[in-house]
Amino acid sequence: MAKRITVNPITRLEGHGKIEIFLDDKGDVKDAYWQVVELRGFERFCIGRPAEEMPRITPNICGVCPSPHNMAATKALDDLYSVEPTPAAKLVRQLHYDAFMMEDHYIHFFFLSAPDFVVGPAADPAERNIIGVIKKVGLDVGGKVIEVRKRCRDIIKLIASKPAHPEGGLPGGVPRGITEDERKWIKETADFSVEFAQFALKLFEDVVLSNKKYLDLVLSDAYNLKTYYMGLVDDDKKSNLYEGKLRVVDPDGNEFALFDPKDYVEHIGEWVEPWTYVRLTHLRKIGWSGLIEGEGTSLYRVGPLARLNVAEGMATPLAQKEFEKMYDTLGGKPAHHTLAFHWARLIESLQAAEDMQRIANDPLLTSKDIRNMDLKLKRVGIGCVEAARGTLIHHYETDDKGILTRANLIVATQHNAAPICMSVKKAATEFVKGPKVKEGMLNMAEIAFRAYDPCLACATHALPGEMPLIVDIRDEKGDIIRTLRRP
Amino acid sequence: MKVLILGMGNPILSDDGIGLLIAEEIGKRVKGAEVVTTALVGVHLLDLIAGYDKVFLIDALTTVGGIKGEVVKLKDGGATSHLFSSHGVNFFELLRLGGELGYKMPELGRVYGIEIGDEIAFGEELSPELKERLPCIIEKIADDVRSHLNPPCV
Repeated sequence: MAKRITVNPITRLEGHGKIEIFLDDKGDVKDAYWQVVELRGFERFCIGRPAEEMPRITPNICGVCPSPHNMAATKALDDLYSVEPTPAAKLVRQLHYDAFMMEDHYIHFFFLSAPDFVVGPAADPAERNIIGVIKKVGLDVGGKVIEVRKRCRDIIKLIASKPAHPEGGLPGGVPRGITEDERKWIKETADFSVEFAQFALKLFEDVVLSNKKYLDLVLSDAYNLKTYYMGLVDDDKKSNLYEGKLRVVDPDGNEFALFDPKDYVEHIGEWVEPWTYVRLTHLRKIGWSGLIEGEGTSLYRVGPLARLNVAEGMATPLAQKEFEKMYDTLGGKPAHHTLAFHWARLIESLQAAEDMQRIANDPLLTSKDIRNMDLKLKRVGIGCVEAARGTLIHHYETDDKGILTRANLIVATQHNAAPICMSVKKAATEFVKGPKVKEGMLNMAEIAFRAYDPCLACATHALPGEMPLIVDIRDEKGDIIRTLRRP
Repeated sequence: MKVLILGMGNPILSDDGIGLLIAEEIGKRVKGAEVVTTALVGVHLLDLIAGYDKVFLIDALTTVGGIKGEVVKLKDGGATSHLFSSHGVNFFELLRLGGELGYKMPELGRVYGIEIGDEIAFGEELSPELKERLPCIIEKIADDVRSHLNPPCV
């Protein structure tokens, strides 16, 4: 008799997002889906508003990716008004973005992934959290995490007034510049951040790479998925989080496409399946392939590992060394190991810290020329950045007064939605065995899900990002026979 | 005693933002209390709550079968909409974490959840039902906060 297990990562509403794992009569995994229920109305909410409001509104969509939405919206305004930010304004924006990326990546690594690796994937969920991590690695590590995060937030606060939901965002510039006094502590923060990023990578090496059991897990087929990859690269095809062209590589690492994000419609298709409200993205030139990996797939992944897979290298020297080390360990590019998303996050954090040093030392940073006012409304604007979780595209259309007539967002979790389903299915197939499903088994499936750090709020343009986890195990009649809850 | 009224919610998600509106009003009615409103979750709340002696949380709540506008006083460990986050740390872990790291963390006064139903839409105004009940909800919570801070003599 078939059995259904529901892994229910609800948002604030019961049932708004869950993983369903179907077991066959032998207790083996037959199928798995990640389902999200959409809350409609975002586009309607935006229409009729001045486009300039979008950098303030869109950060509120998401409790965890506010700066990327602010930045994508601001860049969409640049495009809408046919204006380039001044060089100093661009530096200030990139400084904001580097600070955000580090903060977000560290929260993910230390609060979400470290509990699985440091405390252990099968540990009691009550211990498998940041406090358990600190017990293992020492209180001083926790203090360092809080310190680097605070410093990054101070930078965001300085530039965008509110560290979590930035308010700044002007076409052609930034609302405020940087003074020489501020440069001093920004430099100190940049140096501190480089040191911390190296410390975090060393911790990853000591805890994960030096532990054969964990390294085998990272390299195992259960956490391997052969897809295409997409991410921004600069003119030298080095990784870039703020700007550039979108590069797509195939599962063998060959360049499949390189395009201006403004042309995204030609390359990214959206597909509707009856089991999810997320519009599933795929490579339009191949066509929807369904949930298959390897040869014939049209699915691609975005996010930290995808960005490294599409790049010829990192843009900064210390991060480049770590990039080379990662691919040596994983057996070359592209790496299809889903758990390597965590490793890639730390390498990106190092690049962001080094980039912050570059910016802090640039004489132009304190220039007062922070706004280009040569605005010419063209009625369509598209902005793209790499959010912490992957490629983020904002597309606005307006009337001749700049009032929105259309707003469309394509977000990281949307790109990754289909691969998330497949990753969960592969991990569940390997580790979940019925009929008595133990909590530790489900966590092994959740580890695959967690590597992407998916955000339901963005995927459905709906809710503010919080997502506790409820696991319902149902019998063949659909009745819940056991419920596990974890924050 | 430094008292914080922390209103939680999303200001562009209609009824989800009711905790923000209520917190502002409670601040006017409870002498000496400071008010912070936020859409943040997880570790981001650390900066907002550290340094206070006592914190009262006001947030939207959705439970199966809940009556819209009902005020629920949640016991320690009871969760409202924004107290848990899969992207980081939940609020109760945060209280422990802050303490372990040497921050002065507040004692938890009460957690108030306001039932908002399960139909959430984008918007900057409350639904008509909650708008109508808002004054009553505010007075009820204000009375409770005051009596918690100044228990009657017996």
